[in-house]
Amino acid sequence: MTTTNTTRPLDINSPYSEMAVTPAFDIPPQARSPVSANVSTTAPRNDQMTALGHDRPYLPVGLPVPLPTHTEAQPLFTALQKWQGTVSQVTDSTFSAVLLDLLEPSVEEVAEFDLEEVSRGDLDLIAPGAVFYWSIGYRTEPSGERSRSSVLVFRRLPAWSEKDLQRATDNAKELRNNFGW
Amino acid sequence: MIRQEEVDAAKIEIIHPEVAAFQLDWLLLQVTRNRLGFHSNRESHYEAARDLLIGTLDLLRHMPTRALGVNHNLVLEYETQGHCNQLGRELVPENKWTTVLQRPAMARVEEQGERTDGQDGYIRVRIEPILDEGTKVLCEVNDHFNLSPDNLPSSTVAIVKLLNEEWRNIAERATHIIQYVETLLR
Repeated sequence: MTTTNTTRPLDINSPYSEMAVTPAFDIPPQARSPVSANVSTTAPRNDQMTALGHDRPYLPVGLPVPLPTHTEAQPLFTALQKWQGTVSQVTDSTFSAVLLDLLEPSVEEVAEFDLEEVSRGDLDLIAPGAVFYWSIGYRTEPSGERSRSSVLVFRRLPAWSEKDLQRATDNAKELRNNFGW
Repeated sequence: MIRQEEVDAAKIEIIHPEVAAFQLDWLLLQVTRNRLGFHSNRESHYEAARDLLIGTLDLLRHMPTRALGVNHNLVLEYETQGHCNQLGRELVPENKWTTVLQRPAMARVEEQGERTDGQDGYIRVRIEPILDEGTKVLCEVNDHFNLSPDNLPSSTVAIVKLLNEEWRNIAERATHIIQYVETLLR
């Protein structure tokens, strides 16, 4: 997603990167919170603000009061490479997958993974067709310690309900009727 | 949609009629009366956060929504405070302000551009220094979509479509803009 160390001038670290997704609901104006959908809740607090232009900084800036941010120091992960994988075959100890490079999406590769590399909570999800994300990068601990890391995360979507299945069946019937089959 | 062990370890920040927030080790989820926010600082889990949002919207498919914002934040760290100050002067030339301000300095810059993909919304970039020996600068790219009135009856479907089809473009735009900001000091 965000950049890595390769192009940054003068220094360079990528000590912190973050992504936030915020859909906004449509509710009556009188009930709306002053927090806008486009105000990031990740902004530094007012007392962390400074100014750029002189060696004697400090111009506090009025910002909306942010909602809580990550309150505990968490390890960061900066990706060097990311793939989206689709499981093609599973054995007792391994699974094979077709990988799509998320940074160069035209490139497809095939790889085999040891089941030992998968988090225990994801093991039930491994089946042909399952989608996962594989990232290789740097994990940075709150202490600053950095290590090379490989992370496998399986996609989780809500299970289909009876209602979903009925709706899909109805849609299929409607399509079939429209085609005159 | 979340691993059971993560559910067990989740930290509940607040549960209140106006706001609810809980934290996993890779995600901060916040809900207010008019906003649902998913925040992650792990690049390995950005897609997982997106999928969780898609799954949530699938469960809330009758909830009318009106906008989607995807923010990419990156803290740029420079070797010295002088480099940060130089970036501030590149963005806001100090001679524009010296007649009315003593020792003017850039405290925050927000620049907004029109979308070029035919969608309603905007791209907004925010740059502001962070107090940390004066060597860090936050660069945020907000990729904002307004849903058209035509989409409102099935607005969550429209958002899911945007997330599925525009995700890579959004990331590329953010990377491109952040790389541009980095070149300002070359």
